[in-house]
Amino acid sequence: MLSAFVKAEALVAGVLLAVIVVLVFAAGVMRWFGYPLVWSVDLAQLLFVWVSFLGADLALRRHAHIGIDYLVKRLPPRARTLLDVALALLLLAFLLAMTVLGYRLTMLNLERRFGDSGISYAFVTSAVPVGCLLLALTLSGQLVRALRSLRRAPQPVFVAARGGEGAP
Amino acid sequence: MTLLALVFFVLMLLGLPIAFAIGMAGFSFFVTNELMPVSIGVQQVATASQSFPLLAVPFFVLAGHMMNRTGITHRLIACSSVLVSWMAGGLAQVSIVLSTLMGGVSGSAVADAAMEARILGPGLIARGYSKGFTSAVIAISSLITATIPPSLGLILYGFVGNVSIGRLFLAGVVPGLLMMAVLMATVWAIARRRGYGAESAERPTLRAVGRAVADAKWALLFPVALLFAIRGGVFTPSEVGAFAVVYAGVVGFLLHRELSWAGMMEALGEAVVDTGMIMLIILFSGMVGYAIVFEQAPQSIAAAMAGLTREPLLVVAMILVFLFLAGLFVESTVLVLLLTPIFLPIVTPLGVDPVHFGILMMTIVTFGSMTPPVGVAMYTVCSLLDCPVEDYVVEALPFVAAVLALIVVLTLWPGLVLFLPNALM
Repeated sequence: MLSAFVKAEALVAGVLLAVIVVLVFAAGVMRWFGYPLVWSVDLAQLLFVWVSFLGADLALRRHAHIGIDYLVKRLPPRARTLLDVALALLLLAFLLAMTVLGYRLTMLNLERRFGDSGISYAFVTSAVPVGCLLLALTLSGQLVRALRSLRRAPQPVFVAARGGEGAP
Repeated sequence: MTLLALVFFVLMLLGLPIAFAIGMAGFSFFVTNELMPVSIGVQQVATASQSFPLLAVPFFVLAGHMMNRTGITHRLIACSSVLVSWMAGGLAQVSIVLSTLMGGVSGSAVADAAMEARILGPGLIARGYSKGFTSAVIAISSLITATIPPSLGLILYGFVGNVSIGRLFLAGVVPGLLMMAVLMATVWAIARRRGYGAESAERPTLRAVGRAVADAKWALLFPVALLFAIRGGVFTPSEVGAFAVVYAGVVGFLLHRELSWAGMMEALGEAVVDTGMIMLIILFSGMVGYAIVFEQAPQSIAAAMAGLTREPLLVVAMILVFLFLAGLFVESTVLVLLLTPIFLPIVTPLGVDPVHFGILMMTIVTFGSMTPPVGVAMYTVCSLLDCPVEDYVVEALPFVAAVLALIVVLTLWPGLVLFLPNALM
C-alpha cells in the first residue's frame, strides 16, 4: 500500500517535470516561429511548485535533505536519537501549522486568477498545505521508526539508518 | 531578526536539515511579529515558486543526470587524458582539465568531485600520488565547475539578485579557465619536486588530439551551444535550461545512442529528488527573504559598513572575507539565497558591477565546500578515497593559496571577468 503510494508519487513528479520541459521548450520554439504560447509558461510555473513539493517529500523519504552533522555525530547514539526525536516533534508542529494556515490561505485565494490563464491561483497556494502535509506524514513514519529503534540500536531520524539505503 | 538568526543557527548546528531550519527560522519571525499576519509567511512560500528563472534549476539538474547516462563522461575523460597526460603530474592534470570540461555539462561541484573520486582517484593513488594530494586535487579542481557555464549557483544568484543570467554565464568563462591554469601550474610545481611523472613520454600528435576532440564534440559543444542559444535570442536565459534537456536527449538517444528509456526514467527520478531538495530550501527561504526586506537588514548593515569605509574595493574585500568565513560553515546554495539580497544592494550603489560581484561571490562561497569543517565536496572525496582529513588539509594548502591569489586578482581587475560579457552581450 505504502510502496504503491511512493511509486505513484515518484511517477507523478517525474511526468510533471517532463511536461514542464516540453511546455517551456515549446514556448521558446513557437515564439521563434512567431506563434507565442502565452499560457504554456504560466502552466509550467504552476506545475513546478507541485514538482518541488513532491520532490521534497521523495527527498525526505531518502534522507536526502542536507544537514550539518558535524557536531551531533560526536554524540552517543542514544543521545543523538533523542535529540533528533525532539527536533522532529518541533518540525512536525511547524509542518502541521503550515498545513492549516496554507489551507486557510488557499480558501481565500479561490477567487484569484493565475496570470491570463483563468486558472485559480489556489492551484499554486494549495501546493503548500498539501506538500507540508505529505512531509509531515513521511516525517511521522520516520519518527515512529526512530522511537522503536530506541529499545535496541538507536537510529537517528534525519540521517539514513546505518547499514544500507534508508528504507523508503 | 535576531531571533530568526538564532533559531536558524541553533537548529542547523543540532543537525536539522537546512531547508527545515530555514523554514522554522522564517516562521518564527512571522509568529513573533505583531504587525505581520502569519498567513503572509505562507503566502511567501507559494510566491517564491512563481519566478520564471527558477525553472532553470530542475532543467539543468535533469540535463546533468541525463548527460551522465549518455556516455559523455568517458569521452571527456579520454579527451582530457590525450590533452594533458604528458605533463608532469599527468593524471592530476587530467583531473583538473576534466573538471573544466565537465563544468560545461554538469554545473555542480560536489557531483563533479564525487565522479572524479570514483573514476580517477584509485588510478592516481595506484601510480604513487599520495592520498592527500589526490583528494586535494580532485576536490579543489571541482571548484572550476562553479563558474563555467551552466552553473546552478550563478542561476540562483541571477534569480535572487535580478542580474542577467546570460551575462553571468559569459562572465564565468574566463575565471573558470584561469582557475584551471592556476591549479595546473600548482600541480606542475609540486609534481616536479616530488617526481610525479607524466603518463606518456611524448606529446600527443595533432591527429590524436583531433580524434579525441571529435569524439567528445557533443559534450564540448554543449556550453557553446547554450551561450549561442541565449545570445542568438532563440531562448531566454530562463528557457535555455529546457533547451539543455532537449540537447542532452538528442545527444543521448540519437548521436551517442547510449541513453535508454530506463536510463531516462532514472534520470527523471533523480532530478525530481534533487529538485525537491534544492527547491524546499528556496521556497522556505521566501519567508526569510521577506523578513530581511521588512527589517531593512541591508540598509542597517550598509550603514554600519559605511561607518568603517566607503572605498568600494575595501567594502567588497570585507564582504568577501565574511563570505569566505560563512562559507566554511554554511552550504553555498543557502548563502547565495540568503546573502545576495543583503550584499548586492550594498555594493551596487558603490559602482561595483553585479556580474563581477556574482562571479566573486559564487567562487568564494563554493570554495567553502572544499575546506573543513563542513566541506561537502571535501568529505565526499575523502570518504570515497579513504583519506584522513588531516592529510587532505596539508596537501590542499598550496591549492587553497593558489585559489585565493586568483580571487584577489579577479577582484582587483574586474575587466578579466567583464570583458567577455561586455564584448558579446
